[in-house]
Amino acid sequence: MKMKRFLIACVALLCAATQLYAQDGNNTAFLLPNAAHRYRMNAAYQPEYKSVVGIPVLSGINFGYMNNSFGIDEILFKRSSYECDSLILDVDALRSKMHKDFRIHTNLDMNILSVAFRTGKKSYFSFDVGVKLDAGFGFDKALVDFIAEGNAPYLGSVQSLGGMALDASAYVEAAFGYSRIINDQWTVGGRLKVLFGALDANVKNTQISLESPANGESVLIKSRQEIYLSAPITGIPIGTAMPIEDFFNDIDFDAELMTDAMSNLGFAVDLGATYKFNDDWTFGASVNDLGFINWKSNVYKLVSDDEFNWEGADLSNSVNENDPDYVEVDDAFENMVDSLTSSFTVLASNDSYCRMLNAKVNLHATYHLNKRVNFSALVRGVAMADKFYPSMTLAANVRPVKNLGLSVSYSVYEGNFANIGIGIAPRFGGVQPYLVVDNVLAGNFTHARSASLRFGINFVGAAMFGKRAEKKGNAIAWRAD
Amino acid sequence: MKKMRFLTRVVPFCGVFAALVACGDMDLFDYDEIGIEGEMSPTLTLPVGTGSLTIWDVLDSQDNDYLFVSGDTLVFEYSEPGIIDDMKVEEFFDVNSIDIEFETSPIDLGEQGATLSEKVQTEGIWASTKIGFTDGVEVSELDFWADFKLEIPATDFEYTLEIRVDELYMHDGTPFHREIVGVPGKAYSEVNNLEFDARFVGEPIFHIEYKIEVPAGEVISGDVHIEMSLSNLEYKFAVGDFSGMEPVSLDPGYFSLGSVDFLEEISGSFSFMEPVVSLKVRNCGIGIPFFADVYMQAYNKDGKSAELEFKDGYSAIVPANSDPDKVVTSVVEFNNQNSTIVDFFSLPPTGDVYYEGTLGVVEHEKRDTIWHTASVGIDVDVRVPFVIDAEGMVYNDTINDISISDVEDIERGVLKLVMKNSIPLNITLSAISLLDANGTVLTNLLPEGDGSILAPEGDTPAESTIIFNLDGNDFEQLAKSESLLLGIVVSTDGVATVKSTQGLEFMMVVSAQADLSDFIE
Repeated sequence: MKMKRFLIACVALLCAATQLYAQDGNNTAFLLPNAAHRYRMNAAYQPEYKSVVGIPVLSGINFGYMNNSFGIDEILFKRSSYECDSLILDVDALRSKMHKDFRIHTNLDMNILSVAFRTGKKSYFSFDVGVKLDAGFGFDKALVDFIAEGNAPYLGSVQSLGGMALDASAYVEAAFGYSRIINDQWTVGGRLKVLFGALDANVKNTQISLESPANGESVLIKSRQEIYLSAPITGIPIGTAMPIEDFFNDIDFDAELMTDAMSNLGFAVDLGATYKFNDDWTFGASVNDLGFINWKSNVYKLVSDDEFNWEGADLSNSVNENDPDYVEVDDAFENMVDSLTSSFTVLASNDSYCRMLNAKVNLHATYHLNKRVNFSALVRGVAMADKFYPSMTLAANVRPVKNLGLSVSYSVYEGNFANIGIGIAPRFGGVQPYLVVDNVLAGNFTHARSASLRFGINFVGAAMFGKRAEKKGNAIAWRAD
Repeated sequence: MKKMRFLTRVVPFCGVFAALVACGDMDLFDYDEIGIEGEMSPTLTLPVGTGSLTIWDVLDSQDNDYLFVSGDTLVFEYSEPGIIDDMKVEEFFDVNSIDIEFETSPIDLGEQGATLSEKVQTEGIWASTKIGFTDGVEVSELDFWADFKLEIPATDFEYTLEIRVDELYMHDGTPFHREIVGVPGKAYSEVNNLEFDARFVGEPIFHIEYKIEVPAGEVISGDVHIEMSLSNLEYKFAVGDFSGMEPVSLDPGYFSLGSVDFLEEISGSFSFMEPVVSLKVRNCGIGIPFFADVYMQAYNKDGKSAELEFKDGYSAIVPANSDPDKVVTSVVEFNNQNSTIVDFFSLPPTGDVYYEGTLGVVEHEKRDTIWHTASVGIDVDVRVPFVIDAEGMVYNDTINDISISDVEDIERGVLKLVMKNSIPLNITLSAISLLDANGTVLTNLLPEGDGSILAPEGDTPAESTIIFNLDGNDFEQLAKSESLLLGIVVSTDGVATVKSTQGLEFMMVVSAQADLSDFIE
């Protein structure tokens, strides 16, 4: 009966996931049983080992890629050899598969230093230093529709081309974690993070639209962009609105400015809690990266909010060559283009800004079939660029022997139902390597819409279910958990 | 057992790695040659050009110097100076250039060899050669320069001779008179170039009256010979009745309208309603009113001819100018009231215009003066206001130096011209011909419907839309074209006056569907 409820709940979650978005590739890793690295993903999680020490740099590397619309081979195909083109872009497939808000997101996390250890029976402390890089780019499908269809189908209405999405940041994270077992049912934890921003770029309030009356006598082009930058660059003209074509002329990269990155200080917390309902069911909730970075050094706010009413070239003075005000037709068109380009300007300022991290919320439930097998469900959501991107994962976790944890998962993202993930975390004495992917099908990298890879090696201390722990009275029974 | 444990841990780990072995097709990342398949033919609708053009802008652009704005009316004006270039008076009036000899005989004074006891007096009249003038002219006064010669050989006796010529006056108005005292042994000779004024009543003949007196005590030893003549006569002016003079033919010739592009480019059924051809007659010193009867003939580009002449009964009079130092220009006008000019310009004339004509003296009572320095010249001014009545005036305007690129990939499109017309003409854009560098028609773009641009109602411009549907071939030819020939047919509702400020507000909207595949490849 319990199992049936669990399955019904899973189906319901799967159905809800039709609007879900891709993630950063941590879903399976979040559920991989007995993997020491999980304390970095769930602040309440206490590894079953007395201590965990990450091998510098190699203790945790996480790479994720997500394209919310298509795999490469869904829009590109090779033509037979006798044809002149070797590669064909299938525009119809591109348009049919492209999501309304097309996004590509990559992330790369790297742990530089990790130390975690248990004190007493209930407390677990951790300290980690890592580098995180997130980069997201995207645009509205309407832009592709515009290229494919033009503006004619939209005469008499406003044709919104959406906006451009750019959300990228790189920072160093130093995290202090503490987890405590409150009682037999509750375990809570938190990680306080100090952040040092290195690079940041994001676009807000972005919108491009075309507006034409039904007779096509004009095209009102509106563009609004608000870009925030923190980057070691020079040459941005401050305080004067300049045409876009001139704005970027003198911009240059200056590596020396990287030393100012320490000024971009931020703070964040991870919070987590697990609730052991009974021996069969465990529930948990956690939130990660709830915080911000106050970007103060090398900051630029670029604002462009202009419109241009395209009415064609003014040819009034282009007929009569004897007119002293005569303008050649070519010049008339050039003037029109000049007017267009000069109409769209960028105004830059050195305003500092505060930017929230991409917070993640995890809700999970685990049903323990027996001590070797459990079934888990995870609903994750990422708040990114004023939007919330949820996903869902179901996993079967197996611990066939004490020193080996295995996971097989199935994840759903929007329009992407084929994500089979696997994870493995064996233990060889005091060494625990681990490797997790959310989508093994991404091995066919031209077909994958998303890919993730998390791997690393940690030194782990003695497990809490050995005879030594039994002697000390703090032993726990081993199971897939 | 330990071995088995190890395997159970390592084998799955390796399996995970194996699962991750890349199996994608790297060729899908080779973007050196990439094509497009699927629907990538956007239809863009954009206004490409707007503006307002006056009719003056269009016509003034044609590199001719003959279109003007008079007030606010558009006028075609052309001048041809000197179709008759200072025709001298000799060509229609002259004085025979003969020397005037007086028929003098030796004067017989009577008995010779005896000492006169009392004075001897003899007198008489001689007539001169008749002066010849142009037929039909009766000269009553002639002012002239001439070499005057009066010679009397020496005699052995003293005498007194008095000579008068009734018709001859000196320049100061005094009658010609000579009183000569003959000294024995000494001849008398007078040779001078003098200005005289001859006044005739009737025939132009001078009459010399002489009176000679020999005082008492003289011995007459011979006759007295008087030799008097006026030679190298050059008249200054003549006064008289010239009405009998035959009309003078003007030298026929041509003047060219060939450089007036506008007239070359119109044809069809239309009339300029108020054209004027003005003969500007420059009269210098012809104190005779005369008429000018001029005839012109011209052809259009199709070889059809028309004549310009005055209607029957109309006579164009050039007034007299008796001042030899002043050129008086009088205008003889061909207009729509007195001539065939409307038909003439409805041809329309192009190229050379033939002209011929006569000048004739107008009969009247008054005596007239004609100066020897007189001349007459004729210039032609053509003035054609754009006041037209057209049923179907065809105007072909060529737009040169067209350079349209990057349109070869457009599969189809629509060119929409939206116009607000304030010109009082019904305009039909019948076709746009695309021409190559040699002027060969590549293709004709025909409008949807009749391509008409409506005339305004009163002062309210009329809005019309002309649509051209273009296919891929049209765009292909457009890319090759070097010039556009606009075929325009114009009609009016009655007589319409085209003002320079009237024109078109226009907007060109292109809606084109292009295959972007090539742009991406």
